[in-house]
Amino acid sequence: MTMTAEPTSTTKVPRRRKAQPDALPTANRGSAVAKNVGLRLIVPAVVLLAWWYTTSRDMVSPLIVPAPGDVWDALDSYVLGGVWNEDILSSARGTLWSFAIGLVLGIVGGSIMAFVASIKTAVYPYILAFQAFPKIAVAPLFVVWLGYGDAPKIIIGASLAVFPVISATMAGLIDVDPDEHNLMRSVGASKRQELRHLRFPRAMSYVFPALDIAVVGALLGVITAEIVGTEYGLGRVITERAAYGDSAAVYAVLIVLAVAGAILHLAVSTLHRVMPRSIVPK
Amino acid sequence: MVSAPPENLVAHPHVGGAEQIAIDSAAKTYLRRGASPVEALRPTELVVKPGEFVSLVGPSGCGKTTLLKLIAGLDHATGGSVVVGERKVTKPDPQVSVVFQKAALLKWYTVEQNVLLPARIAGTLTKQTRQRAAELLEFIGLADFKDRYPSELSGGMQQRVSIARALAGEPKVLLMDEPFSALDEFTREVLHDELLRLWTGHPKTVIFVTHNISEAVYLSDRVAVMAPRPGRIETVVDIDLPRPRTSALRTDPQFFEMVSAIRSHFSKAGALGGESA
Repeated sequence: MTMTAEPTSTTKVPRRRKAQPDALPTANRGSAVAKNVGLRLIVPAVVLLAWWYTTSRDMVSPLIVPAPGDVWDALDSYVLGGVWNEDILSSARGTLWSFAIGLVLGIVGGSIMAFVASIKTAVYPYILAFQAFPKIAVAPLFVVWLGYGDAPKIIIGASLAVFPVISATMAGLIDVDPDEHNLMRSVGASKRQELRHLRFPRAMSYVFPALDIAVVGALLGVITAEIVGTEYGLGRVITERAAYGDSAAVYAVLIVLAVAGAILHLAVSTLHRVMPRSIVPK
Repeated sequence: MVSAPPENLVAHPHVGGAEQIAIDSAAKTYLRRGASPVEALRPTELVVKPGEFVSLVGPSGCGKTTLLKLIAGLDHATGGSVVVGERKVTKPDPQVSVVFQKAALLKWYTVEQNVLLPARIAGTLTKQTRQRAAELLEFIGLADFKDRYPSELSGGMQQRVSIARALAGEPKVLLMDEPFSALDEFTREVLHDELLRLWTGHPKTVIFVTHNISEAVYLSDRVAVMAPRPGRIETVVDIDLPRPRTSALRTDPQFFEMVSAIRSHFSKAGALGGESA
């Protein structure tokens, strides 16, 4: 076989990897994974231990730092017991809508501005200005206008999610190598074909990394809008439980949010991985 | 000066899948606002016979890439005309393939998908084209790499793929713009021989732009010596070295003589001695 002797090629070509009977590197890889997992468990273990130690000795008020056991009880009764089901569902729905709207508006808006220079000139400075503006500050206004339903939080969430997508789409569509552009012209490609084979895949390679930022923005916007005021939502739970001095429940919400963030990140990177390489370059 | 085209050639523009290129007073002048116009290419005459291999050699700014772009239809002449076969060039044509300095492979397509891209765009993707692409990849020793992505290939392999892509559609004319200038000396010499074998097997009219004199001599039937400010063809030198050419030629005194003859044309044109102007 004409495999070149480049050591890096094994990491780049997963499909060929299984054809190589390299027992030793696999064993090394296995122990490396175990080592990494071990290293990553150190921080949570230390935090948990310190947490448990300080609370068990009554070194701080349970209002400030509740005991791990109390937080677990709160998780058990509120989350597993289903008390917060409506709130979790509402926040999740809001985040997904915010992300979806931000994604579509971002790709459409970014494409329009990439292709129509006059629209970009007219609009883009204001988008930049809006981006610099703390959108959270207008959340109370939206609640006044649109009420306690899903609409205000979706608007705030989408406004945070849209900008990374807009700028990535624009950058990706504008970034065209002159040789690649001339190649497309020399083979007689139409504008549509150039878009399909050259500009779109390149834009996607910009957009996908931006989705990670967009999805976090969506979650952030939704929770913030809920803190300002809503009927259901984890943001509302935080303000409510804090008002009751129920710190264990607030900590429980924070843990739910951390898990939600991890799931969203995983979902986006999985989507990136399963998309065919011809559509989303790796 | 450049000799006028022999009359009998104009009457037979096709030879075995290759086409004649007739450059008639083609010129390119860039107008600049608030500055004097730049003559990138002075009106130029050159007739390249069907199946002939001609190199355009010269330093930066001599108009060699400009002339290539006029033939490719990637740029418009501001005077004169270029005729390929019987077609006056006004826009790019699938019959005229271009190989660029960079391989310009699309990183999201496999080697095979890249080679087939021109056919896909032209809507001529048939079993025959696939067969031809597979043969070309086999010929250049990359058959095992057809499902790989460009980033997994070396620079030399990438440029091979880009040549295969240019040839997959059986073009009548192949235009090459410093295709090997980014490669190391050893890879370049291997690719010279591969290109000559490909060209011998499937004759096409080739225009090869380079700033490397010995590369031009090794490959070409004729070498057009170009000079800058304004960009122009100084003279056209016949390379009377026998074919097929092999690497033994690289150490042949005759080869060195040709190279130094062309070098002396450059010094006469004042084109050597750096970028002074």
